[in-house]
Amino acid sequence: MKEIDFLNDLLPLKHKLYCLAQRITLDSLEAEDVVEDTLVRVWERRKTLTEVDNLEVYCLTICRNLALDRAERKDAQHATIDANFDAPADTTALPDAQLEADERLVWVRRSFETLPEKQRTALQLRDIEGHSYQEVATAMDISESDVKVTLHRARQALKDKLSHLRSHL
Amino acid sequence: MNYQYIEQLIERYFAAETSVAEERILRAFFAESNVPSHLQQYASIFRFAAEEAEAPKVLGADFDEKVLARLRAKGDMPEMHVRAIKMTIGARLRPLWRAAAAVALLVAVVGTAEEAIDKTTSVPMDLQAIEATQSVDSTDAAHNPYRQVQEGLKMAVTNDSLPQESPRP
Repeated sequence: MKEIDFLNDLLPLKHKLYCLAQRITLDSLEAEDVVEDTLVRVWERRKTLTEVDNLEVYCLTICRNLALDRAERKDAQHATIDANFDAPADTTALPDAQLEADERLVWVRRSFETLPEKQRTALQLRDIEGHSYQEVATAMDISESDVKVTLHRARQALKDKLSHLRSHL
Repeated sequence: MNYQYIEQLIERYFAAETSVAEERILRAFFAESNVPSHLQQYASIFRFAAEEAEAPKVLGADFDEKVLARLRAKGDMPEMHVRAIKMTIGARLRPLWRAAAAVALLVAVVGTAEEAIDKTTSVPMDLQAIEATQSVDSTDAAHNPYRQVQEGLKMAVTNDSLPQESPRP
């Protein structure tokens, strides 16, 4: 791989990195800091990165590790998010089809955020960003079969949470 | 309509056995508004993923500035001058080309104008010559004022009259 150019190679990855960091930290300000740290870290290591064939996946790995470091320090906050999440707050109003559809997306988002980090990250990289099993495995530093098991559990859990919410209506 | 194929894909999706392409088919299918009721329960999951993939880009130019300022502070600036010089060479050459084009245009205009002036001064002389020739041919010098003046001048110089002058070459 040729030498890394900061503006052309690294900086454009900021959006994808931000989405992943946001998914892990569940905090937009934290996520921004993580992206900044990731870009600086990868830039500092650019001389040793000649053997890295997929820079994006490498950045995702660094990003996840940095986000996990921060998330660890904020475990208490995650607990409160989990505690606050129960059922949709307000089901009294009779929504029209569009509102209902929007509301369902809010449910998915909330359900998504209650999943364990490993499942959130796998879903983010696969279902949202569309990476291959192999790329997800590299980014998460786990095996491909572990990726599949994680995705299977995450998708199943999401489905169960949503059907649980639906039965509460 | 038979949804067997989609149902089969959904089943394999939750088992984490689908390919990226197959998951794209599912996303496209659920993006349609006419999803049959028995599959509606899955729609929000795929719509959520599609919507998140199109998520607005949060990090803007101020973020770029922040990261670059941080690298600058560390004395580890990205070699942007490589790119910058490349741009300025192009940018510097552009006005040069413009100036060259302007000069070329000016030269062309001046050249054409000079030629035109040459023509306007030479054409009447030619006409005079033609006129003179014609008047000689017609041997009607008395009715030609120019001829009369010319003859008068010649007489003044040579003190002699030359009524039958041969035509000018």
